[in-house]
Amino acid sequence: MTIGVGQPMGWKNRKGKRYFYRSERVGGRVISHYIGKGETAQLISQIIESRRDQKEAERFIERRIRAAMISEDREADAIFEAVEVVTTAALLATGHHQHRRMWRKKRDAEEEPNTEAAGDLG
Amino acid sequence: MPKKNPTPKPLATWDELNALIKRTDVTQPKQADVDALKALMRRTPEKSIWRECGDFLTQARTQFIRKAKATDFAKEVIVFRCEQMEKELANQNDGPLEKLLIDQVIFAWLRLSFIEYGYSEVFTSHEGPSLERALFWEKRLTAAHKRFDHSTTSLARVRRLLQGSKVKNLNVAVFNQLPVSSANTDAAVRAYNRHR
Repeated sequence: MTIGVGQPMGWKNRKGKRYFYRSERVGGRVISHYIGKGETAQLISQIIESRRDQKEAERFIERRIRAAMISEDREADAIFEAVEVVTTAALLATGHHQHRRMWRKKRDAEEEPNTEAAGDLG
Repeated sequence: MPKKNPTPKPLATWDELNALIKRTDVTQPKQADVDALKALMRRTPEKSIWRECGDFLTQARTQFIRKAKATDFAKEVIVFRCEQMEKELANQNDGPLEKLLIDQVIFAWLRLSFIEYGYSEVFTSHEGPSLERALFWEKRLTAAHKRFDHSTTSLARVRRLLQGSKVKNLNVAVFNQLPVSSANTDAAVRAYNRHR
């Protein structure tokens, strides 16, 4: 039996005394394991509680980090898409067109140098 | 009476640009729309769409390096490496579009390198990643690879169309710097060759 893995543990009152149990799901059934009573059980309960809190905190941090990464990825995607838009616009402005998703120069397009149509960044 | 300076035209919004693209990316576009698109691309440097887009990329790159989990020295090295790549990828015939696409390649390369590093850290950790975490990083890495492949292909395509160059060495110039697996490099080279 591994402590700290499985379902939340709890105290049960039986005939005025408190006993500490751990429940776990085995094959669709919930089975309670007796852990103990008194100070020892109290200590085990505290250790398990603190491990659970730690895991919860780790999951929370992980979620926050992942959310930040997702938002960072989205921002980068937006920039990449903006560049894609500008590229498409520049190619269209210089007399190119897409044929079956392949860019080609239009046959009747007037010849003009790249820099003229594509502006100047300076 | 002194002549008034003409009021500068406001920058076209991205919606405006997208709408123009939609109207011109057809078999027989209206000449007026084509002219409007040309005029938009020819705006002066101070208010050009090139500058705006280029600024996005520069800011994104700077921020990315600033936020990166690395020492100040490592960050300096990265900045230097980016500048070096910029020079290596540049061509004397490059116009603003190619410059923009080079910036894009560098930004994509930077992201890919860091994501690869994060990925390997996750997968070599002592306890190993959870399935959810592994899937997240797998997806992230795949997307970064795609972006990088796409950005190099775009640069090669634009150079071929606007400069008539075959840019045979582009993949060598870029991929030699990358800490990517050979399988991914091969895939990127295949993608590049397909679009060439």
